[in-house]
Amino acid sequence: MRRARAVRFRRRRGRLTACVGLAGLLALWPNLAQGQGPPINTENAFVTGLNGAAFRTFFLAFDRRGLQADGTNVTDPLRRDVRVRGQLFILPYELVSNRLVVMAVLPYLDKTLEMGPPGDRRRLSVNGFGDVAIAAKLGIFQRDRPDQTTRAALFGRVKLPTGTDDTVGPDGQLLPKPLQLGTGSTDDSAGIILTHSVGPVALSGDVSYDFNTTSQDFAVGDVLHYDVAFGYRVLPRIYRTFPAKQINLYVEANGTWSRHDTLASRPLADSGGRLLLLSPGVQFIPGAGFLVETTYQIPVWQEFNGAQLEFQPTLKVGIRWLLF
Amino acid sequence: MNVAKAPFAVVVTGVWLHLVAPWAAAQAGQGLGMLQVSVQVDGLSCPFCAYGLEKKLKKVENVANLEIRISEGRAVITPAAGTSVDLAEVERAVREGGFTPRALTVTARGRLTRLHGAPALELVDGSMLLLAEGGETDALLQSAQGSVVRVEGQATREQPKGHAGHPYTLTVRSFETVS
Repeated sequence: MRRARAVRFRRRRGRLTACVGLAGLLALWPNLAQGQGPPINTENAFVTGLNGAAFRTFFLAFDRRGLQADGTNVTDPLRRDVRVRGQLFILPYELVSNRLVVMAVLPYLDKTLEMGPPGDRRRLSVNGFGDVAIAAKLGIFQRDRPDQTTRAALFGRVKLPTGTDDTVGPDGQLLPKPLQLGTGSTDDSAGIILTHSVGPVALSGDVSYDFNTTSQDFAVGDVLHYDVAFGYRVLPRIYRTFPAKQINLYVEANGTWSRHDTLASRPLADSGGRLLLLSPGVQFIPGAGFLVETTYQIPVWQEFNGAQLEFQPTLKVGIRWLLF
Repeated sequence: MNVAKAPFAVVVTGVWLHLVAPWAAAQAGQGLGMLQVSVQVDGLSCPFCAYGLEKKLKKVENVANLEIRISEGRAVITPAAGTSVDLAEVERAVREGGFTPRALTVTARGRLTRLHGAPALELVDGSMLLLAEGGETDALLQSAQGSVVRVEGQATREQPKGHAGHPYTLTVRSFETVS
């Protein structure tokens, strides 16, 4: 029994060789699915208005290449290049006025891994809908003053294993776990959000934790997310009558601290670590009920366990559209 | 009747029924009702979030026009002609829209009367707005008892014992006699 388990472990371990250093691909998307604004990548504690009724979608693109081993850059013998393109769809619904919002998050993903020497590159690719998440945000504190507000909210999320996790490559072998569209596991997250807004200035922050579970002996490591966003309304300088054209600038810090992934309950050395992104962004609101936003996320701190591919800058472009 | 003039008569009658008659009816009722309701909204530092406020306030019955003045932290409602809005509904809409309602300022035209001995303004739909005694109200009562007046003041949720109906009391800041 123990021997069979060991053989199975070695076989899975072998399949994982090609995906060493890609672990963050699976852990990353739930973080990107948050941020129902106004900040772009950070949550805010409002549970009404656009937070409760606006369909949101955004396109994101990020790459991983260049091997980092124990904090130093080394040559990747496999010359791997990972590209992820995604379109996320978020539909919130204000279940209890100014108290409780529920939302569904559906990602469409396109993941590609290329590796091998020039002239003999091997390409693995998959695309389709990833795991659906159902989330809820509960307002727990609100203190309003003229032209300012301070709010706090709790949020929780359940990610369901709706995305395929058994896609095979051209050779008939299962694609590496991080390349799959779904994790195959049902994972929970919980966190807290704080927002303070005075006139044209807004500050938001959130902390959340992903409790990831095991599927087919494999588990993505738990992830601690932390985000801070500073926003400033550039135009109009004096907002007289709603609605009016509006431009907001943001600077955000978006961080994750991931634990090791595990295979058969054993931690995988080349997984987990710390990642901090600095995210300048801009929102344009042309009138009532519609918003366009974009942000460019620059990795400023990458400290991974073992050997892992580095994150390259991420681009997000999105819209929010008031439905009802 | 001259048959050739019949179409002209029909047009004139139509114009009368659609344009002049409602105006005349309004004049007959002397345009009683609330003219404007303004509510101070605390927490309105996020114009982006005012979508929720607009949505909820527009659902309040008899709201004909709404203006959310972010820089003043105020929502200004114009009720449909000859009607009034439920002030409790306005406050509830602000709360459900995600903000905190504070001072309510009401401008209304009504007939000055008394309700169980307390001064009140009778609005067109039969509802009463109690008037806080003292100050401008005393001056109003002395000069315009039984008249139609236009008053402006701050409404507060104070219901004197024994008075059913409108739970708000208006502290008159200014008034003018209409008739």
